[in-house]
Amino acid sequence: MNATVTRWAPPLGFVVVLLAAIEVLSRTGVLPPDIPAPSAVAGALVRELADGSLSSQLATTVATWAVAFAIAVALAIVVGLLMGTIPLVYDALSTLVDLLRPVPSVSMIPLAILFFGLGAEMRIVMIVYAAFWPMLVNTLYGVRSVDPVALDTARNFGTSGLDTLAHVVLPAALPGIATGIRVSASLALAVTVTVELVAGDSGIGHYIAQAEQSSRIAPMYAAIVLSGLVGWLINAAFAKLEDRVVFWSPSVRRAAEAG
Amino acid sequence: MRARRLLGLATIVVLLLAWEVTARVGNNVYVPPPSQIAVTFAHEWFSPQFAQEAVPSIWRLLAGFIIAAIVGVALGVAIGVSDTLYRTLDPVLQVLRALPPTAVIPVGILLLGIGDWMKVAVIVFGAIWPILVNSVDGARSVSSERLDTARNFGFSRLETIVAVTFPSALPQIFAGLRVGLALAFIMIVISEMVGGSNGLGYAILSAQRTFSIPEMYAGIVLLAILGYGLNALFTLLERRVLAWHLGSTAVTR
Repeated sequence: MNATVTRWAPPLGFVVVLLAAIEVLSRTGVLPPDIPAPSAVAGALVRELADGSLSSQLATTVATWAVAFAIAVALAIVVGLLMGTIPLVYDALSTLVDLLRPVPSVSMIPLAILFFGLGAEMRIVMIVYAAFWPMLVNTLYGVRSVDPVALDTARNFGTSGLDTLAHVVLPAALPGIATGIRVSASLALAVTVTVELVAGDSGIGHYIAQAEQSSRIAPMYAAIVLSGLVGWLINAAFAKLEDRVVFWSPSVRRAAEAG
Repeated sequence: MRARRLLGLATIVVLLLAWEVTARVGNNVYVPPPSQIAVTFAHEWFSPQFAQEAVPSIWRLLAGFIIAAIVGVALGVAIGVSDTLYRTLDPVLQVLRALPPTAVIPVGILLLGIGDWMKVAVIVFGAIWPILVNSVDGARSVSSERLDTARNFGFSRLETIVAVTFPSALPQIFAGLRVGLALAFIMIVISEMVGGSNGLGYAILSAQRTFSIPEMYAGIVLLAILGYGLNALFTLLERRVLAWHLGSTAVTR
């Protein structure tokens, strides 16, 4: 209890002082009207969530994110396992991956609009494309960190390919996969909001753009705060998951024993 | 080794050929053949249009990224070496880092209009968090042996930060800078799409809206080349700067 207080008192104190300062400067008119008082933003957040106008957009954003993120993770794990375990597949695809990965994914937005229009389909395709790359790279990294001795041992015991995959490769690759999941979960949310902002017809990003265009300043900030909260929750949840997975991983245990 | 590289290149050649053939046979206006995109690319971008659309994007991107790098590293190291600052600000940084960065672009437009400085400002805001967080972590993970040695040699606090903490934190600082560069790229493209009258993001989106399909593809190709090129330059810089580090850790291993 005491540890919790000493841990959270300084950051909370800082935030409270900062918000109080903005509140005073905004109410006294020192700040331009485009920077509203935090209390007004909080009020807008509660009001818009309660009357459904923001909560329905939140639901759309989270649903889009979840579907696209799940597809990206599944796709990248399959491709990553294929590339990581079959040398021919790796040789055939690695140059293509190196070429496509540094390309900024958002530059594909016009292409996605062209093929899929402005609806949910376009958004999901864009998010899958963006979130696929970090997931793939981390999966590959995990698969390639498999101990060759363990693989040889499995082969000597006559373990089948599928069993080796399930009992040797996958467990060793899990920390890489967990890192990939955390990184691409955050990226997927960022891209979800981005695509909604540029070309969406719903979602938090769309709400922010609409609020800006109709000069509903406090609701705009409220939606930005909400998107930050969602991002923080997603990141915290997957970081926890990663800690759990990495905890028992052989490579981490070995590093812990060595150092 | 050479055979493996050839296989990788062969995949790309086969994909491009398949695209070329299907595009020519299918005659779909949305999918022009790569050869036509290449011709449009040469026509569009080896022209004064490069100065009009690409150069503004590049300078805004570099200006925003460099400001984010300088401010992020300086603040990050400062926060990392001070326990009080770290305990006060780190949780705040973690929350700000989780904010989808493009969500602030409308705020940028509201406060700064749709000019160059709005774009530079939102790039700084988008790119700075991973740089900050990694600089903080890097500065905090300096080994106590190094700090003790510096103290025994009578280094002042500032000397220790400049000569010991900062170099030790560099590998992690570069990891943050790499993520920051990728975010800077997203911010420039999106800020030009949402609030722009020129720039590559604006150019490709308006090409799509006016159904100038080959031009749209050519613009995406240019963005891809820029993304790839900047990433390669960054890797080169990283190898140079960290050469001593990679070497020294290899020896101790």
